[in-house]
Order: sequence, then C-alpha cells, then structure tokens
Amino acid sequence: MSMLRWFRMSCLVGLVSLLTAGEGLRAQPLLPEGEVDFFVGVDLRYRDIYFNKVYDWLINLTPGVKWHIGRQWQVAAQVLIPVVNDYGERYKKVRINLAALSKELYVGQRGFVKVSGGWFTHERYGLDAKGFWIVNSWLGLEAQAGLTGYLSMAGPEWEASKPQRITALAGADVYLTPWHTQFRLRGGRFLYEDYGVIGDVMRHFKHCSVGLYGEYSDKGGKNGGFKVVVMLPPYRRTRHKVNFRPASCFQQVYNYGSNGYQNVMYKTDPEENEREGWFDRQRMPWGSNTMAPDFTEKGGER
Amino acid sequence: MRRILQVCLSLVGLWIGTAALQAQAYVGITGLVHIPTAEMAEEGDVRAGSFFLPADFVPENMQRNQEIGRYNTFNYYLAITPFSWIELSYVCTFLKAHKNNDPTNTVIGYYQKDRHFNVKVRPLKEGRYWPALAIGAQDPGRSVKDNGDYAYFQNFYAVASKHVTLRGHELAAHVAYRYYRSDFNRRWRGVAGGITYRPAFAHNLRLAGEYTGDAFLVGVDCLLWRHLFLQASLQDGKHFVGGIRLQMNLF
Repeated sequence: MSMLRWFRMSCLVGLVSLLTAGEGLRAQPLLPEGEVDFFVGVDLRYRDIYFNKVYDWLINLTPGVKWHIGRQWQVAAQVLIPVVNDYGERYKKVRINLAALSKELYVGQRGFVKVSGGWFTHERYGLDAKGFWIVNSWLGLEAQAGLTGYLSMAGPEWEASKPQRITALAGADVYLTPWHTQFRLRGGRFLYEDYGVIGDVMRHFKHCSVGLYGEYSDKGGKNGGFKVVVMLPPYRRTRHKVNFRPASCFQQVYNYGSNGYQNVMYKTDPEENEREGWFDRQRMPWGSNTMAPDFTEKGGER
Repeated sequence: MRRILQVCLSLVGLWIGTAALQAQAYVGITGLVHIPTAEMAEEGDVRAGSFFLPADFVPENMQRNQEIGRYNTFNYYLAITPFSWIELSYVCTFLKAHKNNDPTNTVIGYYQKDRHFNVKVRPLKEGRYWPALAIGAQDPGRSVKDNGDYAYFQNFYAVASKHVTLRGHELAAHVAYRYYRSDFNRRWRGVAGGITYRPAFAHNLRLAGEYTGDAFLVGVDCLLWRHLFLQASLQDGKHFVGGIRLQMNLF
C-alpha cells in the first residue's frame, strides 16, 4: 500500500465524515472458514436540527469481532464506545450494538439465503432472514423479513419488549456491468412500522461507491439524499487464524429530511454495506462482486 | 501593436494578481466563479471544498434581517462526476441568525444553513466546429408553494463553451443564459458569460474573467499536487471571493 493511496483514502473518508450525516460502519461478507477477525472503526454522525449551534456530533468507536465457525455459520459482535456525544444521555454509555449468529444457505447457483438471530443494530433483537435470487446477469430479486423486539442498554437499566414486530421488504436490483451502476428498488414494512419504498442508484468505483436515493413512507412522506461507501485500506492483507484490522468500510448516508425514523432497517452484520451486499462475494458472481476485489491476500482474493 | 501587447499583458497581470477560477466553483460544479460552463470534470472526480462568499456575492434575501444587516458568509460542498456527462453537488451555506431563532436573543451567529443540490448535464460534447452545450439547475427541488422565497440560489441555465488552443495556450469563451426564479435574484437573470485562459507553461493554472449580469469578476485558480485546488477572485475589483477544495478521482 503506497503512502499516496493511504493519504487519498484517508482524505476521502475524512471529508465524507465531515460533510455528511449517516449511519457509520457496516460489514464485510463471509470470512474464510475458521478464522476470527477483530476490527475497529468509527461511527460518526451529526445532525442539524437546532438553532443554538451549528451541528450536534456523535462519534463512537466501534470495535467488533467476527468468527466464521464453519459451514457458513458466523458469529459477530460489536460494541459502541462513545467518544464525542452531543446527542444526550441515551448515547453516553458503552453498549452492545450487535451480537448475532448467522448462517448462509445456497440454492443452486442462483439462490442465496441468510438467516440471523440475536441482537441486531437499532436496538432490535430477534430473527431475520434475507434472500437474493439471480434472475440473469443484470437483474436480481431480493427480500428480507424479520420478527424482532426492542432491546437496549442505553437507559439506566436494560429495556426490552417482546419480539412481536414484523418487518418485511421485497425489491429488485438492476446492475449495468459496463458502468458498474446499480439500481435498487425495495419497499414494504420497515422497522418503525412505516410502509414505504426506497429507490437507489449507485455507481461503484474502485474502493468506493456513491449513490443517490429517494424514498417515500406513509409516516415520513418524501425524502432523499445520498450515500457513500468507502472501503478502508489496507487493501492487501496477510491473513492468519486470528486477524486484527481496521473496519472494512465506512458508510455515510445523508438524509435531507433529517428523519432518522423513516424507512429504517436494522443490520445483522457489523460491517454490512450496500457495496458488498449480504452474501459471500466468492459464491455470488453478481453486481459489484464482478468488479476487482477490494481486498486481496497472499494466494488470491478475499 | 506594441500598445495592444502592453494592454494584454497588463490584463493578464491583473488577473494573476487578483483572483482565480475553474468552475462555478463555489458550489463544486465546473464553471467560472459564479457562472457555470459547459466544461465537465473528469468522470469519477469527487470534490469537497469550502468558499468564502462576500455579502455582495450572495442573494440579498439571505440577509433580509435588518437587525443583522448584510454579512459575509461561507459554505462547504461535496461534488461528484459519476459519469462524463453529469455533475452533481450538495452545498451547505451558513446563515446568520439570532441564537435559538429567538429575535429577542442578542446573540447572533451562523446558526442556520441553506442546503441545496446542483445538477449539470452535458448533452453535447464540444467538437471542432461547435461548442459544448450543457444545461443545469441550482437548487431545483425547492418549490415556491412549500418554501416561499427561501429558494435563495434556485436557477436554471443553459450554457455553451468553446475552446481554442494555440501552441499549447488554451483560450475559452463561455456564454450562459440563466433564469433565477425569485425576484430578489433578478439581477442575475439573463445572459452572462466569461473567458478563460490556460497558459502553455502551466496548464494547472487558469485565469478568468466573467460578467454575471450584475458584476464583473476576475480571478485565477490553480490545481496543486493533483488534489489541492485553490481559487481567488475579485468581484467588481473590491470584494474577495475564494475558496479551497480537495479533489481526487475514484477510478
């Protein structure tokens, strides 16, 4: 890794962090079997909803761990460690962001399913299932459904509710390989019981994806913004049974309406991101997985 | 002949001594200082920058609070050229206001912001005998119905650009027609334009002059070390407009 590339990607990450508000670190698909990764990143958010200061800031460190037990079973966990907090009392504690067990299943060469259980982001716990079906080289269909409850460490004591909330989304993806541009349309019942639809268009560059989105929900109305996913160096890695590394990516979403409760969905992997999708790139030759891999290691791509 | 040469050299000297240009730079879209051009950034370019904007450079209605009066401000932006034919940017401009939006509060600062998007599309690429043509909009999404006259920057435009290169020296002319929707911006409605010059010995340097429909600007901009862009200009010979940005290509 050249110093120049480090500098460029660091600048990009820093600029995106400063100029957008969003969701923070997401994920990398399946690790090699039997390996454990410890990683840490930064979850940076800011909001502009008051007239007494320019921005409110919330910066968390996000250490996490992932372990591919074998046969596509993976355990993942992540903690939020507040560093800067203008958001208030409920954001000041060190707390669990995610602790989940997941299993990937494959249906022939075209069908992909991921089932997860445990504690997800956005203070949800329960069960989740995701699916993707490759129709052809440019069209894919996706679905996600969950049964979750509320679980939070943010208050003075733990808070929880029964897992009775149903979320269900379905959608389609179109990928134009010559331009590495992806269109994604999905809709359904989101986390906060709103019914809505989201349309994205995202161009994938080398180590970076940039997209625009527009959305509508019955509770929040129209909204939109843009999103950026930056894959973080080092891009060439040496892997061992136990690995220590920075988080794989940094994701920011700018939400024009400053509505944090509209068309929201939890994540089941601490490094989940829209560039890499939900499934192991080596098994799923579709979409941005057809690009050169972001990370390589001695002996081949990851 | 000698006199003409002296005048030309003086003008170039004046440009170098004052400001800069590449792009409707203060919002991240390729152009002059205030006026867009039909030039496009390279596909995959991403830019992030900040500009100092004097009171006379921004819409008057941004400064309608009599108690606060006219004030200089600044902005920041994030821009990208996802394809060679389209540029997009997001801009946040800081506005002065009473703290907590309370008129009785005597504390005044940059507590409010105007956020808007920009888009420019180039349907016709420049050819040997014809100029490049581009159309675009600043803050196109805001409506009068929803937001009254808070669409400070909203305008729609068409622009043509033609370049001529002689022994490595590049000279370009740009003509734009802009329609600013709000009456408080009527000074910028209509035809605007400018010229740019890029010397053969320093292609990363650009000199420019433009007429916005209301004011003249002369400026200079320079790209250093492939990533650092600096621009400075003078409006009507007295108001400084300038900024800095970082840029890189994502391919």
